[in-house]
Amino acid sequence: MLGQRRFTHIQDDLTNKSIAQMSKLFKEVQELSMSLRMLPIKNSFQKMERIIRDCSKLLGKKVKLHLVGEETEVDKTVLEHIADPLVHIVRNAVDHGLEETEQRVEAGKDQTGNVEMMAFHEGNNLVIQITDDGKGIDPEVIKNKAIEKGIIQNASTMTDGEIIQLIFHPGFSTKDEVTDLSGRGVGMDVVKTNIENLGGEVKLASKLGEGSSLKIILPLTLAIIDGMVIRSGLQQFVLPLGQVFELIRLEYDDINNIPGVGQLFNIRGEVMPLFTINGKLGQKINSQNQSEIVIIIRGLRHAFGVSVDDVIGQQQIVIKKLGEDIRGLKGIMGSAIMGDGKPSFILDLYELFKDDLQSNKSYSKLLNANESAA
Amino acid sequence: MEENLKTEELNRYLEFDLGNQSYAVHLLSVKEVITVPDTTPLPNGPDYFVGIMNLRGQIISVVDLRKKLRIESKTLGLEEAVVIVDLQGVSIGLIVDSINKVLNFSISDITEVPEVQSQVNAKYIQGVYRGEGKLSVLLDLENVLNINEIKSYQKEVA
Repeated sequence: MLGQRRFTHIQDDLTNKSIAQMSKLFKEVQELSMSLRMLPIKNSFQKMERIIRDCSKLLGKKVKLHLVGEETEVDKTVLEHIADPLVHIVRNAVDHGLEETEQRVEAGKDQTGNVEMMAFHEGNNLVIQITDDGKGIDPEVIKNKAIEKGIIQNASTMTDGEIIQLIFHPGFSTKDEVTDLSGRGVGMDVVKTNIENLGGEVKLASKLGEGSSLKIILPLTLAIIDGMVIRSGLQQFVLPLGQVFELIRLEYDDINNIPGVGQLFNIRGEVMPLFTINGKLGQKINSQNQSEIVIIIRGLRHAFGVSVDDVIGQQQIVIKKLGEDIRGLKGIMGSAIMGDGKPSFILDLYELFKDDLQSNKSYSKLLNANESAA
Repeated sequence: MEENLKTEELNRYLEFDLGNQSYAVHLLSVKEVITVPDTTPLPNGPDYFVGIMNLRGQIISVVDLRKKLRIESKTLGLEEAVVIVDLQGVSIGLIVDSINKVLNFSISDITEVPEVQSQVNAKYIQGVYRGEGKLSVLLDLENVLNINEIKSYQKEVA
């Protein structure tokens, strides 16, 4: 793949010029071939018009569909895989989300329900947002159904936000009778797994009486990512650049070792836990510098730092699948063939340190204290 | 593979050495033989798992067959080679001490596994071939590498 490497050791001017020219041409060809994979989301969206019309006829609800960002381009493979989940989500919005016409009038809303589908790019991600202005998801209803179906025993410790996430649980359905549209209990969990298989995530937000909104965040392409090449011990690893929020250099004095909690550091007034790739992956540590290079990762709920031995550079990476015998390993997304022909592992730092973050209850307590103090 | 043993008259096996003993695998499962390539080790992987390698753009796992079978390797690894096998669609590279030859023999030359305690787990062995005053152990690679387990695990994930 085209790296951002420069052939600095070549002194000859003409050679350097030729190399520069060639890189430019290669880059053009690469970008062109990449763009061939990209298709506008328009076709998928327009299919929804029909689905909305069918649903609204069947259910006797008046529905209007608003499409925003139809021109947004998506990788062909991603497009193929989200078609079915989208249909499901839109049906759900009409069937479960929007109220009957009379109820809408009672609630002081317009007779016609609105469903909005919006697609846009956000960094290296594609975001598709489906919003309805229906009745929203009632946590009470979900809670009772979940207890009835034995999915949970007790909801007293759960927040409303956590409760509505239960609709992603396999086998969950609020409808008692099976209809053409819903009630089979095969639903949101399938949507969620489909999206997650593509390396994306699903976020659900809902306000009782005002509607719900489902946000799908997907990587723009499945084949090529921007990667950051790092070194840990003697081995090179690749991190998806989208996960890297910032790179900092930490002096050892800035790192606090707190017994029972782990290593913490303070960056611009925010306390974050510090993990080491070396420690996690069992690499030998061969550097004893006075400072550490720390990569800061910001997730939805957590932010943390990961120290690495060296940052080698940025490169576009073609993701290669691992052999079936080691596929699906925790924290390893795949592999990439580096410039020297040797394969490297692509790490998913969220996955890799997920357990550490969750098990570290004392840490989250500390963070909360930190927030309230601030 | 057992069906092959019963129906086909002539069997072809690739013979190789692990330590001081000769072993053989069914030739039809062998894709190619290459020299030991550069590999990238798997963090926290089992000791017999050497790493992943790049075979013309395809990523393949490499397993040290000697470590997997707990056989002491020869002291000088000059003839080490990697046998790429294809088992139910899963490609895996196996490091062996040296490649010997292709064996041709009919089914009657295969002896059942003798009922003795041996160095190698009995379920890994299909049979023993005796030729030219030397014995070759016929390995059942699908059992050695737990291919069925891998396959069923893959289905669960999918």
